[in-house]
Amino acid sequence: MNTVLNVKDLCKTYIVNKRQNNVLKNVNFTVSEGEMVAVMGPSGSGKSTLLYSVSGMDSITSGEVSFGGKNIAKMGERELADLRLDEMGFIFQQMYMLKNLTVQDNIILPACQSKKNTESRRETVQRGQELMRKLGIIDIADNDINEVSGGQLQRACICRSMINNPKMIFADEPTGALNRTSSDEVMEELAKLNGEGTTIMLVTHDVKVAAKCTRVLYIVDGNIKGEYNLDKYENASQMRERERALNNWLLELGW
Amino acid sequence: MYLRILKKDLKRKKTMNVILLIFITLAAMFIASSANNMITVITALDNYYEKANGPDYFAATRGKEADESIRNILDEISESESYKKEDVVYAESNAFYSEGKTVDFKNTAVIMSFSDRAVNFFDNNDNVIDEVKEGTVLLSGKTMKNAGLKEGDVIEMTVDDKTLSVKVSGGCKDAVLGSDLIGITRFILNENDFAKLKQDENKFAGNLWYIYTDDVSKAEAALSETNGIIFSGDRTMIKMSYVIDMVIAGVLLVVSVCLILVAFVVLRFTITFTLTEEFREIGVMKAIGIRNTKIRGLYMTKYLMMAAAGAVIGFFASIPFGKMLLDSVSESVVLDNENMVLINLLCCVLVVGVILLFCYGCTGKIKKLTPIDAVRNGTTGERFSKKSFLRLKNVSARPSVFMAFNDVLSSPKRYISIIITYTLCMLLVLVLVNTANTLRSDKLITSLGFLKSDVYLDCDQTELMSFMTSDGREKLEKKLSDIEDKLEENGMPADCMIETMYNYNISHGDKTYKFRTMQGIETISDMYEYQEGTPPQNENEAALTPIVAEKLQAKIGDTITIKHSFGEREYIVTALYSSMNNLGEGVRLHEDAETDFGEISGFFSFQLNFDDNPDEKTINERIEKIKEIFDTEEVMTASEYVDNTIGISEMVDGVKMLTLSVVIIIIALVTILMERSFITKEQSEIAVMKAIGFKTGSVVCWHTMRFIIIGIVSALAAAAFSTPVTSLTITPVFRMMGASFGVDYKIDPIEIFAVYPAVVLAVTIVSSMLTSLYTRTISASQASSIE
Repeated sequence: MNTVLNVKDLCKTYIVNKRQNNVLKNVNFTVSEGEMVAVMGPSGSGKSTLLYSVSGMDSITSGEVSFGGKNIAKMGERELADLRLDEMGFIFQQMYMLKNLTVQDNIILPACQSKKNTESRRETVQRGQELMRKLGIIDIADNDINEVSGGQLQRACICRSMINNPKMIFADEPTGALNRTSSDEVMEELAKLNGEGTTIMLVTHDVKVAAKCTRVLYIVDGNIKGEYNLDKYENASQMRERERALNNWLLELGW
Repeated sequence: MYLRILKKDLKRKKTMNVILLIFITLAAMFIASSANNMITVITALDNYYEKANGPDYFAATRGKEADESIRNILDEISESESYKKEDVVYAESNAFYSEGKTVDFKNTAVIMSFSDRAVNFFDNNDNVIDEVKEGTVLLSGKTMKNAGLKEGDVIEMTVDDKTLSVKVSGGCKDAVLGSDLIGITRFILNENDFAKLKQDENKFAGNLWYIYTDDVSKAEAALSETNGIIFSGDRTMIKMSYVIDMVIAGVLLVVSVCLILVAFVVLRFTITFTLTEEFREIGVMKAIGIRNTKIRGLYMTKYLMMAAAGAVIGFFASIPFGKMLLDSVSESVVLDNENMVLINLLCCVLVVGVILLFCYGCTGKIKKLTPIDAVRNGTTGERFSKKSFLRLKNVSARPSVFMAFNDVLSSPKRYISIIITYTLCMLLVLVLVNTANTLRSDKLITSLGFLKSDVYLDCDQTELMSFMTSDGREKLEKKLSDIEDKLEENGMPADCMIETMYNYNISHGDKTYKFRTMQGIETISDMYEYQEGTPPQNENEAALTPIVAEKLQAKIGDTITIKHSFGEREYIVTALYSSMNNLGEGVRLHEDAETDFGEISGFFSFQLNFDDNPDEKTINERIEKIKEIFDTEEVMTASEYVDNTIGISEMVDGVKMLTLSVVIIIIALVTILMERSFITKEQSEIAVMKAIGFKTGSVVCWHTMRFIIIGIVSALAAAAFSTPVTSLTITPVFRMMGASFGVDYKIDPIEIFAVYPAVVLAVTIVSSMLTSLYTRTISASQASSIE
C-alpha cells in the first residue's frame, strides 16, 4: 500500500506567557492509502494539535510532514490552501458551515472554488446531490443550515469534505457533538467511505468510534505511546469484541 | 462582581469595543459641530448686523443737492428716530492703479474717512477695527479677493486732479457694503489721507446715510422722492445681499443635517450589532438565574461608560472640525459662536442620552428571550425564516463573488445602514455638483432676466457713460449698428442688442418704491421668458417680478405708475417674470416705452446673436476673433456670462471639494469600521473557509465585493435621488436670490453617474480591501477553537 502521510520527528511548541509548551515531541508515524486511523488520548495530550499539524492547518516547529510525497512543512500559505482544497477533506466537531448558504451550496462550495475542477456548475451540483443521496440527506439539500439536525449537518460536512475527491479526510472528533444514534450513523458513513478506499484520520475520545477504524494511535503528553491494529469485522458481535479488546489495550496504557 | 465582568468584557471584546468607541466619538463630533454650525449660521446675519450697528434703512447719494434734500426729509419725518451720515468721494471705476496696471473694481467706488464711520468694521478675527493708519487703506476681504489684491499692495487712486498712494492694510468685514450684490466698493482711509482726496465738486462728493427708524416703509417712501440716490435699501435687502454667503451657509446646513443622520444611522447599527454579539453571554447569565434588570443594568453601565468616553473625545474633536466647516462662511460674515462650547457640550450629552436610549431599546429583547434563545444569538426557535437568497447552482460566478451577492441579498437589514450612509454622503456631493454646474450653465441666463445670446461683450464703461444723456438713445443705436457692421465685415453677421437699467419710482395705490427697471434696446419683449401672463405688447405695458408685484400689491391687469423725468406714465401689468438680478426686484418695460436716457443708471453687456445659428465650437472660435476685433478680453458665452454675473460657482466648488473630502473621510471610516466588525463577527466562517481551502485572496475578494455591491447600490440610489433632492434643498436658496419660479438645473450625467460615484466607490474599495487584509491573521486551525 502507498503511504499517504509520513510524519518524522514532528515537534510543535507553543509559547504562552513566555513559557514554552512542547505539545508534540518527536512524533513519528505513517498512514497508508485506505487506512482509517484513530488518534486517542487524554484531554490536553496533543491529539487535535497533531491532526492540525499533519494536515497543514497549523504550522509545525520542527520535523517533516510528507503528504502524498510533498513536504507540507515547507509549503507556503497559498500551496497549503490548494492542498486543503483539492487533496484533503476536513470534518470538525462543531459542524461549521457558512450561515448564508443552503446545505447543498455549502457542500459544493469547495468544488466551485477548485481550479482543478473542470466540471460545469450543473455537473458539480449533480455530484453533490449524489453524495447527499449516498449519505441520506438529499431531502435537506435546499434547507438552510439552521433548519437541520446535528447529525444531518455532520453528514453534510462529510459530503463537503468528499466533494473534491480528497486523498485523505481529517476529522476532529466528528461525533463529539452528536447523540449516540447520530454518532453511529456518521461513523457508519465514514467506515463506508473508508471501505470504498478513502483514507481517514480522526481524533476521538470514543472507543466505539475508534473501534470502527483499522488502527489506533494512543498519544500521551505529545508522544505516541502505543499503536493498536484492528482486524476486519463482519458483524455486531465481532465489533463488540473489537471494542472490548481496544478498551483493554487503552486501559493498559493508562486510559 | 459586575465591575469584574465589565472589565473582562472590555478586554476580551477589544476590537468591537474600540469600533463602538470610534463610532460614538465620530457621532459626538459630527452632531456637536453640526448643531453648533446650524445655530451659528441661522443667527449669523442678525448677529453680524447688530454687532456692526447696521441701519434700518441705507441710502447712498451723489451730489450736494441730495445731501440737503435728504437731511430735510429726515428731519421732517417723525419715524426717523436717528440717522448717521458719512461723507464720501465717488471715484471712477478706472481710477485705481496697482503696480502700474488699472485695477477694475467693477462696482461704484466710494472713498471715506475711518473717523467718519457710522458702522463697525471687523478684522479677519472678528474684532472691531479701531484705527486705519495713515498711508493705508482698508478694503473688504471680498473686494481684495475679486481684485486680486493682497495685504501690502500699493494702490494709487485718482479723483479728479488729486492722487493718493496707499498701502492695503488688510481685508475687513463690512456689514452694509461688504456684499458684491450691493454694487458699491468702499475704500476706508485715515482722515488725513481722506482730506487729501476730499472734493467739493458736486460730481464727486456724496454721502452714505444710515437711518434708524421703526417705520422703514414710510422713510423709504419719503426718500423715494429724492433725486441723486444711487442705491438704497432696507435692513432686509442688505441682509439679503449676503444670499451668496447664505448659499454656502445653506449648503453647510444640508451637510450638517446629513452628518447628523449618518451619525445616528451608524450608531444605531453598531449598538444593535455589538449587542447581538452579547446574546450568548446574556443566555448564560439568564440560565444561571441572574435577573433581567441586573443583566440590562450591566450592559447599560458598559454602554454608559463607552458613550461617556466617546462623547468626551468627540467634544474636543468637534471644536476644530466645526471651525473648519465654518471657514468658508466666515470669510465675509462675522460669526457669533460664543456659545460654541456650551452647544457642543449639550450635544455630546445628547449623544450619550441617545446611545443609552438605543441600548435600552436593544436590551429590551433580553426580557422576551428564554436563556436558550439568547444562546442561539437571539433567534427564537428551531425553524427559522429562509436565509439563503441565491443558489450556487443557478449562478456561474466565482464562489467569493456569489457569496458576496448572496450575503447582501440574504441579510439586507445588515447592510441597509451602510447603504443609507453611503447614499446620504454621495447625495451631499451630488447636490453640490448640480448646484455648481447650474451656477455656471446658460440655463440660468433667463432666470437672471436676460435673453439667451450667443456672445456677451463688455465694453468700455466710459464710452457707455457717454450714452447716459437725453440724446443717448441715437448714439447707442449707432454703437450697436457699428458693432454689427464690424462683425459683418469679419464674416460674422449678427444682431446686437443691450439691456438698459433705470431706477424709477414706481407706484401702485398708496405704495411707492424705487425699483430697478430694465428695457432692452433692439430686443423684442416676446423674446424674454415670462412665467405668468403675456409679454408686454404695447409701449404702455410692463412685466414685474413676483417680489415687486408683492411689494406694490399689484397683479396682472393692474395699472402701475412710473415717474419719469418727463412726467408720470401709466403701465398695465401684463406678465410676471423671474429675475435673480437685483435679488428678484425688477420691472421690464416694452422696448417702445418712452424713456429718458439721462435717467439711465447703467448698462449690461452687449449681446450678440449670430445670424447663421453657429454651433458651440464656432461660437468659441468667434469669441477669440471678437476679442481681437474689439481689443477686449471681456467676451463671454452665455454660461460664462452667468458665472461672471452670479460669481459664486468658485465658492460652491470650494464647498463641494471640502464636502467631498469630508465625505471621503466618512466613507473610509465607516467602511473600515464596518468591515472590521464583519470580520470579528465572521471569524468562524473565515476560518472554516480557509480550512476547506479558500485562500486569503478569495476571502478578501468576498468581503470587498460586498462593499462594491453596497457602493454601486448607493451610487445608483444617490444618482436617482440627486435631482429631486437638489431641487428640494437648493431651489429655496435660488428663490431667495430672486428665482421666484424655481430653476432648471443643469445635470451632467457623466459627473452624476460616473465621476463622483467612481471616486466614492474607489474609496470604498480601497478601504474595504485594505481592512479585509486583516483576515490574513485568521488561520484555518482557528476553525477548531471558535466558540
